[in-house]
Amino acid sequence: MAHTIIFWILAIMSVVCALGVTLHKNPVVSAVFLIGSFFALAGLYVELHAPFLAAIQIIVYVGAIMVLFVFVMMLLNLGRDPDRFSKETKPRFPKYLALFLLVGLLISFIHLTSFSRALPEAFHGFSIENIATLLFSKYLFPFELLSLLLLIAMVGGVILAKKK
Amino acid sequence: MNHMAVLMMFGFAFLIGVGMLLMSAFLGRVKPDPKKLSIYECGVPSSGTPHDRFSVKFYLFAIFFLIFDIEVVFLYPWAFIFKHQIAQSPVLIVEMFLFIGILIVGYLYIWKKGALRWD
Amino acid sequence: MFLDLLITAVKVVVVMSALLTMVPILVWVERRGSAFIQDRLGPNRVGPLGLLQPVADAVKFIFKEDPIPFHAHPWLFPLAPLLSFLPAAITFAAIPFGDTLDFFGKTIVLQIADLNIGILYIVAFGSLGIYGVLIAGWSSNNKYSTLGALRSSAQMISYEIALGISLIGPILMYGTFSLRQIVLEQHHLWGIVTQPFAFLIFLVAAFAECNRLPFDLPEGEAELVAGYHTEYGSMKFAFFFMAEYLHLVTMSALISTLFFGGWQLIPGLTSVAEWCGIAIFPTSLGLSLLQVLSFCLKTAFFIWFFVWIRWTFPRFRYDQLMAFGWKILIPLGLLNVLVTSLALYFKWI
Repeated sequence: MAHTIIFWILAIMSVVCALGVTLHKNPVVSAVFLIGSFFALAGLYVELHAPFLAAIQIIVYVGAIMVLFVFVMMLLNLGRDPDRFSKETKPRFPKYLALFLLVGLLISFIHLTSFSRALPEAFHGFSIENIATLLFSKYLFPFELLSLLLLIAMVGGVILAKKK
Repeated sequence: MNHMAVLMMFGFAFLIGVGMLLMSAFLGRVKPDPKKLSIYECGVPSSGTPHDRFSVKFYLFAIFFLIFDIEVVFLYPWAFIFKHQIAQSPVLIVEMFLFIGILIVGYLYIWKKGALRWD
Repeated sequence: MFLDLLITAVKVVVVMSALLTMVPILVWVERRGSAFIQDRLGPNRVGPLGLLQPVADAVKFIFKEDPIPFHAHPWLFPLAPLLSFLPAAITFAAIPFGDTLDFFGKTIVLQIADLNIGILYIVAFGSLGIYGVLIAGWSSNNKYSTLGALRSSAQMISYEIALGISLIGPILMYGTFSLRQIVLEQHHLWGIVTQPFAFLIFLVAAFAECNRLPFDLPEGEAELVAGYHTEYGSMKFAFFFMAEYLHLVTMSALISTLFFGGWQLIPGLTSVAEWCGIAIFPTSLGLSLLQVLSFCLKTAFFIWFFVWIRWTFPRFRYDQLMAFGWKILIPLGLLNVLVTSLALYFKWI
């Protein structure tokens, strides 16, 4: 019962923050709403018996990636978008078609998912030991490839940003 | 119960924070004056736009922070199971040393390239 | 079930009150302590020894005008101090301030939340302090504030990596993220004996994270007016200071938990514990009191250490600060991880 209430609070918070991201004029405000959305997601991870993933979500997504986003917004002086509510008529059909298709896709996904399998109360499949053991045994190769990916990111950053 | 405790702490801190801010908003004087409310620039009228372009160093450092933060995030589960599993699989240490080694290569590269210099 | 909720609620209220009371005490300690170091008197008029000075400051903050500048963002501007205060306040939830307390048959763990991801929780919410600074600087619409905010956040993120890497050492040693487990494992040997370098790196990184001297250039008075909180007055300004002091208390508590045994009794108090147990209190209550006392004394020592260092050293220049964080602390941290893992593998420890 308590879990249901918490789920609905987190879900509504997530959707409201996501709407806030898309509907706001100011990009920094959108970034703040995105942070709220990530917190709701972390809460949902905790509800799904994956506290480690929730902590990592906050450390990486909220603590690093969103900081990068806000830095970029502050550096590039991204203020309000002046073209947002211009009065000239823009073609509306593609916008509504895309929205209709997206909603249709989401509804079909929800329809195809079987909601009968719930996680048991004391589920330990997503515990830190399991994740760590799997990461270093079964998924070792992607893990090492990841270090290469990070290396590429470092080199790419330097090349793009440093003057000769 | 642990999660409820964290939520309670968060709720309590939030209430205290909002309460103190509101208390000051209601109990403090309100006498707006254009000179008081204008942007502070050592007493002179402000010059230049408030959002000038800043140096790209900040962006570079944020990218490097992101990369090393992800590396540290991978170190956490490794450190967690290390003590318990090092007896059965000594490969664990080699795996992580390889991971850190590749990242150290990248780190030395950015150091040599002068990207870590804050002029 | 409701009894558990009630006990947790009591713990939350007690800990939050203690934390919020620490802020005025820290204000007094800082001002009198800095005066003592600088061979002058410090506040001594308001109450005996100036002890009511923080109360006077608090009253001033409440009744002073709290302006919102014209060009500041209407709701991000007041949100920023709250964003700075909240992570600093709730990070303390995972820190154990005592062992269990047997209260009329119920065993209460003297810790608000014994999370099995304790250290990660603290790292996660510690890293949220950046947003208070960034949003404050940006929403003030003042180029000095923005620059100060960017520099302060760049400093904080650089030292966060060192903080994270230095924590890997204790995690390797104790094989757990739960802070209660870490303290329990230190009953023979405190953490500093096995992880001295991790302690040093963590200490330095903690100074930089809390924006304390010698790393407080982004707040430097002569440099950028007042950095990211130039446009803030009255209560909102007080919030930034409360957030900084709360962060300080949490870092001190974390240092004493990870490296100095947390609530494990200070050597010498064990005999006092036995004497207390037999003579005065029922054993469990006396022992718990002594454990909480040990924890408070260790944390207080580190808080004093933070204040002491602030008024002793000159501050780093910004490029020196960044070079130190990136080029010295990170390699040292990685070296510590490598050496500790090898030592555990070859069973040297």
